[in-house]
Amino acid sequence: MEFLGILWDEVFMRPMINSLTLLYDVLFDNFGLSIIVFTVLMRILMIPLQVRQTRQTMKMQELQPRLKALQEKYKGKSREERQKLSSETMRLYRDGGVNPIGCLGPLVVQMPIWIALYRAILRSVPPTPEGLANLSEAFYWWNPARAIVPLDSQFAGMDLVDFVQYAPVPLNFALPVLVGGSMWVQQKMMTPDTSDPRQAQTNQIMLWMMPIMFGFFTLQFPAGLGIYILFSNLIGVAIQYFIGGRKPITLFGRQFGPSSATTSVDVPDEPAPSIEESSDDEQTDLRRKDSRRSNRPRPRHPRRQARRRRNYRR
Amino acid sequence: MYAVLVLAVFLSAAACLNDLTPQGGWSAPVLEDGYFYVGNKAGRISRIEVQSGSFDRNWRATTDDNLSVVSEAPSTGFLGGCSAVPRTQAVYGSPLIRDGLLYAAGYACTGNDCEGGVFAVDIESGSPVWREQVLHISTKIVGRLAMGDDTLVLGTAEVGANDDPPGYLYAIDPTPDASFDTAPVSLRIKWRFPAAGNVFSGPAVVDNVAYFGDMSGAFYAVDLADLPEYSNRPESRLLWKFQAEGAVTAPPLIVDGHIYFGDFAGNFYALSLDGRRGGTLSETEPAGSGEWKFDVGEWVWAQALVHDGIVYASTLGGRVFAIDQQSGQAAWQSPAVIEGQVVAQPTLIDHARGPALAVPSGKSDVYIVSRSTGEIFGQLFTDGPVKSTPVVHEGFVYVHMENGELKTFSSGDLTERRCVETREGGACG
Repeated sequence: MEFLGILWDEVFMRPMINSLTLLYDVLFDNFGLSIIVFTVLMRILMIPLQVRQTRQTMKMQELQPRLKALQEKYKGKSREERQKLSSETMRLYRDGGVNPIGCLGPLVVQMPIWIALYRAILRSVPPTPEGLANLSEAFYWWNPARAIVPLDSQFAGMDLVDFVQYAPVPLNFALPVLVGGSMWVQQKMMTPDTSDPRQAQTNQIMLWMMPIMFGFFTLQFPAGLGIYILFSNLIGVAIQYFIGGRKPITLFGRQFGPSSATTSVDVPDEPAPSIEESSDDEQTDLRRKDSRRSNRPRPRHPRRQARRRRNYRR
Repeated sequence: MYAVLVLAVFLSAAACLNDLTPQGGWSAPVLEDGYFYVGNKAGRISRIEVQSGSFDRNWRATTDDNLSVVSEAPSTGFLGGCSAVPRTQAVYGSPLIRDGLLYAAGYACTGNDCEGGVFAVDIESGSPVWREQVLHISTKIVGRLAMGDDTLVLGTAEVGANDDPPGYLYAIDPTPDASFDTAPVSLRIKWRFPAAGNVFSGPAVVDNVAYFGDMSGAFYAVDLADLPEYSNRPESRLLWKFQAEGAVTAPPLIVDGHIYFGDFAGNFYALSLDGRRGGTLSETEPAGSGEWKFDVGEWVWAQALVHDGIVYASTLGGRVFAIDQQSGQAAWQSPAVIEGQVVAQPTLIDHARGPALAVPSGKSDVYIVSRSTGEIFGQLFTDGPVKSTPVVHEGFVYVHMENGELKTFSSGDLTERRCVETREGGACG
């Protein structure tokens, strides 16, 4: 455990504390600016991950009809069919260049960053004598900022180390609302369209639940972490706007962004993966069925469908 | 997505933990008439008999709820905030004993909402001698108290965004109230001198002048005399000011007409009292009159120690320097290096191999360091951080540890002999 502690300190905490304090020294002794610039740098570092995530999401979206076709084809409940569906799905992903968990990349990377930044903010501007004494151990010998401690943690009327809930009114409400709002916009842009009603419902729940809960939790965060999340979301929205094809988004009934809904996808053109054991005609037929179902979901009645088929043949 | 929610809950809960909570355990025991008086982690002062090591449960300050540094319920933030977390009442400074009275101070926080408390008790009974029992000030009180001719002084630090100036030197009337029913409460605070930064450094008082530094690096000499020209203008009490390169949290030490203290820029200073009094010397650099600056290269928090013409300066990097008091030159070939921070002043100890220093380590143990060479003779194994000055008395070394335990070691073989928990008097561990 001690080794993990040292690893955590050396890989995350010390670099982060030194970055924040160095930026503070450079940016006119302003801790808020230091956090914002730090956020920008972190998001720039993570652009390759976000590009990858966006491409994966778009590819997943492209594969949806074929995925549906496979599900339709192997809709039986026998073990063999389920295994076949699983292996065919994986093959479809592989052939389409999609990693199902690749979409989580930036999220997974951001989690330790959030935890470390939370700690780094509190450790950079420690409110207790113990914290202040311990800060001396976090500095690199070459960091000139170690001579200018203590840092001024005031920014835009808030103490960045103090909890958001203790910030003056209306900042204590504004910051959580901004965090939640920006997260909603980002979620909205990143959530892929889906023809699956169940998936759409799940997406809708997540679209609202995440921002509301995060806005609520922001009350309990140091204001500096709230600033980080807010700017991280805003930068995420900007990045998503450019790499996601500048799609217009609809907010409160109004459309923002380019008027055309055409997507200028920068995903390289790739040959469409084929689905083995199904002819093109069959796939087209299945896609049509899928599309019809998704537009008007209703329970299937095998007997009624069989009767319709018979009538159609006649 | 669910992982993010788990993370948010984790961060939210962690927000209430130790990062924002003062822990205390830095108060050095004060020896008086066969008893140790030590600030404990419950925001009170404990009385422990030196000979037996027994915790005095009959002494009122130990048990009276009204005599903890904070007696009021903590205020809570929006939605309750961290109200479920019990707030630690920390005493950092050592108690001050004068004329049969004991003075102490500390503070407690919930989040960044802090409240300080100062109290005075009769040393025999532990009973409060002020009508208000505990004088509450909305601030952090970290440094020790000091006494002028008729004024108790202490430094305070800002709490919240709107405190301007961020720190003060408070002057308090220490006089006991003859009657608790008639004494006016509001007159206890005499005045407060504004500082440019948080004052974590306990002041030193010589000839009714208080000397202290703040986090902005300013070091002040403030007149404590009650003169008419100072009335309503506490800032006019400033006799002189010196600007250090880094923040000053180290309590100043005044010996032989000189003040010794270090800063966070890695400097250690010797300033002349008489030279500075004239107001003609540089406000940023030591200048003649036995003044000097020594580069220790690391943050200095601990008070210095002067003995036999040598100044011992310790750093948070664990280095101990011996500096010639007159010339300001290094007296050892290289500094002694111990493992851990040195937060508190070392103390003198006679070791079998020669005169030594007992240097407390913020990581663990007390190191015995040769006064003549800086060689490490041995260690008192405390098995925990020590951030208070050890006390050497009649062949034993008494160490108040950060976790609140008071351990007794033999100064001869350096072995542990006894341990008392200073909060309730129970067994250690």
